[in-house]
Amino acid sequence: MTAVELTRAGLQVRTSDYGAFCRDIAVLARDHGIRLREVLPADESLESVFAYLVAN
Amino acid sequence: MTTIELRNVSRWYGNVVAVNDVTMSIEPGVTGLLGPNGAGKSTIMHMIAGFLPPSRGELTIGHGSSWRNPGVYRQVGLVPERDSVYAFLTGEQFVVSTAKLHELPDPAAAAARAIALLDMAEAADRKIATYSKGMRQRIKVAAALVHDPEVLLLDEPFNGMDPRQRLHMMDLLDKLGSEGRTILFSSHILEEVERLSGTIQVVVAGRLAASGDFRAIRRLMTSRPHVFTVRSSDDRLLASILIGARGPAGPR
Repeated sequence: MTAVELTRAGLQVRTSDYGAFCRDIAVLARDHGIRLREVLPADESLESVFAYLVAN
Repeated sequence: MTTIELRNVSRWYGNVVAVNDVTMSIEPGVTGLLGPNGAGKSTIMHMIAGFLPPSRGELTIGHGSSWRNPGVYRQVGLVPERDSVYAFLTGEQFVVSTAKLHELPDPAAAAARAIALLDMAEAADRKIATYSKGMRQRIKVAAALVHDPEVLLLDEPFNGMDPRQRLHMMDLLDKLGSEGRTILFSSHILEEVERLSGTIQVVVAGRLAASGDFRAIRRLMTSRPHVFTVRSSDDRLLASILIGARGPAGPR
């Protein structure tokens, strides 16, 4: 599954491992001299949680 | 402090199962009972309020059952979904009459306190017929709170309210919850509900689909990939690193 998408608002990243992603992105960015400006969960709203529950 | 407990509660109407083996514990604070229309929210509300007995299972408020137990209403306030208010009464008359039904020692003082709590003092001497939907909702809540109950049940309190009125109601529920009352509201409207600090119980097709803090619920949905928006000094480079990474940060 391709999970990184370059959009106008930044990158859209999909990952199945929430904790590991949050840990590793900081290390990867630092190692490559990239400054992170924003890391924001995009589907953690009540709306999306609700939609997932209803769909299951 | 009063807790509402449902243990393996089911309710059916003829062959239709409206609520299927629901177990939940509603603690002091604010709890939202959420679900699409027809999920069984109202049936659960009605059983808690004592309007319907469970077909199976056990339901208690504090230490007593709510079915055929009028004494429970001394500690429970109800805000029904329907606009079941007497439009020919003034707001104050309506709340005072509720206080009298509860046989409170000083109905006028109790009504004044509840009306002030809902910020309705200015409109209290107007007939309810002249109220907006949001004001009617507030006067219903004032009537439900007139006997200072520990438990407040609200069926779809945000229906027909505009966003500003919803926020106002939400703030009020938050305040009541933080005072140690047990507040349960049902809703299929999710806008603004997530601002509430409390927990949610999600009912889908008569079953309890999830309960707790919605962010925690989201984390537990491991079958759904998490979506992040990331902005950095070099998005293009970061994208290629993330795609190339073999660790957990890489795509999967």
